[in-house]
Amino acid sequence: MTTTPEIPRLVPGGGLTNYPPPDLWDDWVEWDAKTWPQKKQNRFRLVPTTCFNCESACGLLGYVDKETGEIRRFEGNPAHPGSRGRNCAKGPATINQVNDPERILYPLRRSGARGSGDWERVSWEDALADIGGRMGKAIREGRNDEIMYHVGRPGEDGFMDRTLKAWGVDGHNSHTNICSSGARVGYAIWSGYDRPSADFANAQFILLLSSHLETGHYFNPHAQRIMEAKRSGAKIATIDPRLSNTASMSDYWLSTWPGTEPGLFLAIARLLLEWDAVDHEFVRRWVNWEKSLEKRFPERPRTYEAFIDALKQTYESFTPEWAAEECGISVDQVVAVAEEVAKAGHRFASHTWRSTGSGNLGGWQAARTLQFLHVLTGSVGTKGGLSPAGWGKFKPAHWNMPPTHGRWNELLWPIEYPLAHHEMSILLPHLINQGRGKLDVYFTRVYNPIWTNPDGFSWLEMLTDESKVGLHVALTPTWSETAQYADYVLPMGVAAERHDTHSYETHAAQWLGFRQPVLRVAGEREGKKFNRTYEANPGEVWEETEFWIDLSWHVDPDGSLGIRKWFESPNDPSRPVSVDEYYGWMFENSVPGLPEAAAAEGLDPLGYMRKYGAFEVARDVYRVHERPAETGVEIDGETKTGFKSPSGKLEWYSETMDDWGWHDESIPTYLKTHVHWRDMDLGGRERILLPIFRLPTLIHTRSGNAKYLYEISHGHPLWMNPADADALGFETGDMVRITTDIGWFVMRAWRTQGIRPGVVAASHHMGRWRLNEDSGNERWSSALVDVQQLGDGQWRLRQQKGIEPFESDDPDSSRIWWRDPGVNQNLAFPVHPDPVSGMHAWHQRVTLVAAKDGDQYGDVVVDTRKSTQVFEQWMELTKPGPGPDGTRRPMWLDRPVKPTPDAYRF
Amino acid sequence: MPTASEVARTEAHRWLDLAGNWMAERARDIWELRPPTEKHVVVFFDPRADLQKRTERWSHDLTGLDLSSLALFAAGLAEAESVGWASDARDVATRAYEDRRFLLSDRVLHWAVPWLGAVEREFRTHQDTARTDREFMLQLAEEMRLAPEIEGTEGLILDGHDSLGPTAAHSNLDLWTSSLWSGDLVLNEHRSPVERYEEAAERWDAMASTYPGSAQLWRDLSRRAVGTVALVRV
Repeated sequence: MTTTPEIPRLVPGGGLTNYPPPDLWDDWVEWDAKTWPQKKQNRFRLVPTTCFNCESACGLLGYVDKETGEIRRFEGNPAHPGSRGRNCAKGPATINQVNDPERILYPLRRSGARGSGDWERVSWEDALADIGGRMGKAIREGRNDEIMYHVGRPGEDGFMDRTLKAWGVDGHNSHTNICSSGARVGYAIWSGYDRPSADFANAQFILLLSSHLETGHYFNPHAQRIMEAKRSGAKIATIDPRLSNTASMSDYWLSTWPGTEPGLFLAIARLLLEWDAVDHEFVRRWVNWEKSLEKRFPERPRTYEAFIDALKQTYESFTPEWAAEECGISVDQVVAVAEEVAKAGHRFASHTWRSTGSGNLGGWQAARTLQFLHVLTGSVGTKGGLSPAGWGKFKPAHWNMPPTHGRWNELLWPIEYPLAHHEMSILLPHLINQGRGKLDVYFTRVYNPIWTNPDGFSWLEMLTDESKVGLHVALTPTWSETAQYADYVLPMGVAAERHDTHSYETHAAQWLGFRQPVLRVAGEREGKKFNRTYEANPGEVWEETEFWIDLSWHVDPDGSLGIRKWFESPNDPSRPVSVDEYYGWMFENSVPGLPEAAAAEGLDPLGYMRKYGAFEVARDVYRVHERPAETGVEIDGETKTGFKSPSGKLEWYSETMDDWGWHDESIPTYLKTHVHWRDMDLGGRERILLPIFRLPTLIHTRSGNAKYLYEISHGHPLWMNPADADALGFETGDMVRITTDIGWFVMRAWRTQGIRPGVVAASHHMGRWRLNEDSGNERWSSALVDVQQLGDGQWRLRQQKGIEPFESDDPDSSRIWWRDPGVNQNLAFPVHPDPVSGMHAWHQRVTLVAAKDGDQYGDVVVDTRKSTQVFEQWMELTKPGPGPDGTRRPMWLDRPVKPTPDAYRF
Repeated sequence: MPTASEVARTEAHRWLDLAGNWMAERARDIWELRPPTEKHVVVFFDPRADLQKRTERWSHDLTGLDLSSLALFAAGLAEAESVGWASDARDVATRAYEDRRFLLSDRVLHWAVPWLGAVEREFRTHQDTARTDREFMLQLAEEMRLAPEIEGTEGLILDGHDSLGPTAAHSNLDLWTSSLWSGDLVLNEHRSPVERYEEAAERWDAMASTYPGSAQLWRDLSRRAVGTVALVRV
């Protein structure tokens, strides 16, 4: 205790106080509301699982009707430490996804040309034999890297890592560079940890570059804790050109020009330095100030005071007045937010994930400069502050992990992007066009690049060319634009139909969630036996855990490739490992405290996880860097855990960036975006298009099968400030042709003061389409379209009809009253790969004119030859490797399925 | 007329002062004799688990189980109430009030007031502070009506218990008289036990008359002191 105590800031707990107690989950009784006034009891078996819609992995409880054996509904799981029993609309809507009359129930194989819509049902065995046989041939011929796994909705930490290592394939591809590579690089350069974990509940001031109260990453677990902080007196500032629901609930809304946010943060940093609102003890101990002085200010004395003077000089020009003009906000706002940051000190929390970091050239500096404020205030790892994500996320070990491989896949990690945080997935069609490789077997796993990625027509060209992609297997719980062009469409389960584990950095704790097939678990509790999860799920919907295990057996049926052994049962090598064996080992051997907690209830660890669906591994995780360690970083004569950066400290100056050719960018600094407002003809018809905000009740490509959600969200307007609308001559509902660098699309205008003048915006959550009347996508949410190739590289997508009622087993399908499917604007965006982070810079410079004669709502017209030109222009911004030591990439930077060091040699 | 938020904030600062007054480094001499914790004063009861439940609800980490730490928790609750009223989070405000009321009645008042009383009697240098802080808590007990006298037939008290706990004396007399449950608490006094407990009984009765809001606690202590006199005489 200090000699001058302070009043502690208390936050009321957020756990539910009223829910079915776990002891009654096996026989929960409710009165049937529909039989009133007669009293009829319904008996349920409550099985916990994990939501599959957004990335938060909130807990769900599946209510299985004991009489019918069907799932009746989903509610929150109160035993889940992250979501604490609460869910957003997307959780309960899982019941729509289970019962969707449009869903894919059986494995399908293309029976006509790609995209023809002709499918035949096949058995799982036939599909496994065909796909596995082809993969085995490729591996035998040394073409391992022609196999690629491309993940959309993140899967289980470590599972595919293990699988790809067993195969010897450097083929892990992800969606990350259309999502978060920018923010990840900004954070990783500081500490080696690529994500933030804010302790919102205990914060005094919260700065958001996102829409956390409605949609942001880990939004439900985060939003409930932000509200707790707000109810305890915390102030919230939201930086967003758009008046989001979050901004409307905030104490400060800073409607900045897109891409200028790092300028604002540096102005705040300057004020903190000027006011001496700096935790000098923290900065002195934990920032690499000696190295920073040596490399950036060699003429200065190597003292901490000299470092602080250097910082003041470096940021001298970032005055509040400069920031106000650059960002388009008031000086008062800059100073007020800086004062809040200073006042909050250690209890300053923030978050950025996509937003400006994923919208702009140089957007990665948003996270870099934002983290700078935490470093100055010492709010790193503190209660109410910001920790590295690695401290709040628990990664269990996987059974029988194979050794890592020594391969390097140039299609994923091209030499031009040595610092990219994840695979350069957006460039895949272009890199293949350049002859850098091809794909023999390509898995899209809950991923829909034709619709989701920029430049979708280049993807369509690639995926319809069998010389570039030999076999495309779409693993998906729902139809998608991309699955339409696949060779196999393999139905994978939604939240209640699969096994996997999850953990995310929702607060200052660590937890592990267990997703499980609800009907299988309920059946097993009744004594039924299942060999494979598709025996319990609707139709033959399967899960990936068992699929990959069985596929690996088909890749190497006799074990001669050395692959099968990694997937054999530890108890009986003549059969594949079972999920009980797999997760039983994980929970028994790699989750601290779980065996003891289970034993206290007379359960084994797997039984505990099947009962509760989640386990809290640690709580109140703070100041991990200060923990004593055997090996770590020496601070004031003691060895501490420190951070994962090369120095073990927080790196204001990054020697890595300097060494790899980015000297000016090696410190937190301000980079000009590709859509800077000064470069726009704002007096004419140019505007900045902000195309990356979510709608609170939809989730990318995975919610088109949820009728509840589309009944709530089914409009796709182009947000436009009245000042712009007047200048450009648009009224609400007018059709607007929006022209990008590679084409154009048509939307309807919506006049609203909820966006700053000069910026227009449209959510990326709308615009679903299908090629055929009754297959290829969900009729709840998609337009029937005609995709035409008008000439070489020239494509047009035109809507034939919008959403309409249809007949099905679900009477609600005939009651559909919404009509607008929205517009697939991403098709008209070229790739904008940031030369450092590899992040696709989503924001677009667009020209707005009235729709022309013949234009129809939803039209998208693109020239993929122009896409190639833009790709080549952005490639010219890169500083290709190898690095100073002859490697392809700094070895200390994380990457998925990290190969052996020799693979890094160029 | 101050608002509810202002009243709660004033109380928060008063708790903060109290917390500062009884930190170990400011009252080292007393701490060495008998630290101000329920465990050291009552001896037969350890409040750790109960306090953990109470603080968990507010994401609060107690720095210790002593009077100063509990006062800081109370200050935090009063501040949370103040913020709750000011920000129209009435559920938070009322929960903070309720939890503070139960904290004071269940985990503080019954042992801290006797401990402060002993300090006031035995430590001249801390006398004024102890008196002021004891009076603050007793006045709060009046406002909150923490333990008014009851008939005993309401079903609120278990057989063999009173408002403090089990009434049966421990067989080890030395151990028993080291506990407040014997009816008195001394820090550094050397009077005969009979004289001490007789005086204590009178003192508790007087206190019960002066502070009806917490009278049941003092009446029970008085009865316990009388019982201990009988034990000591035997």
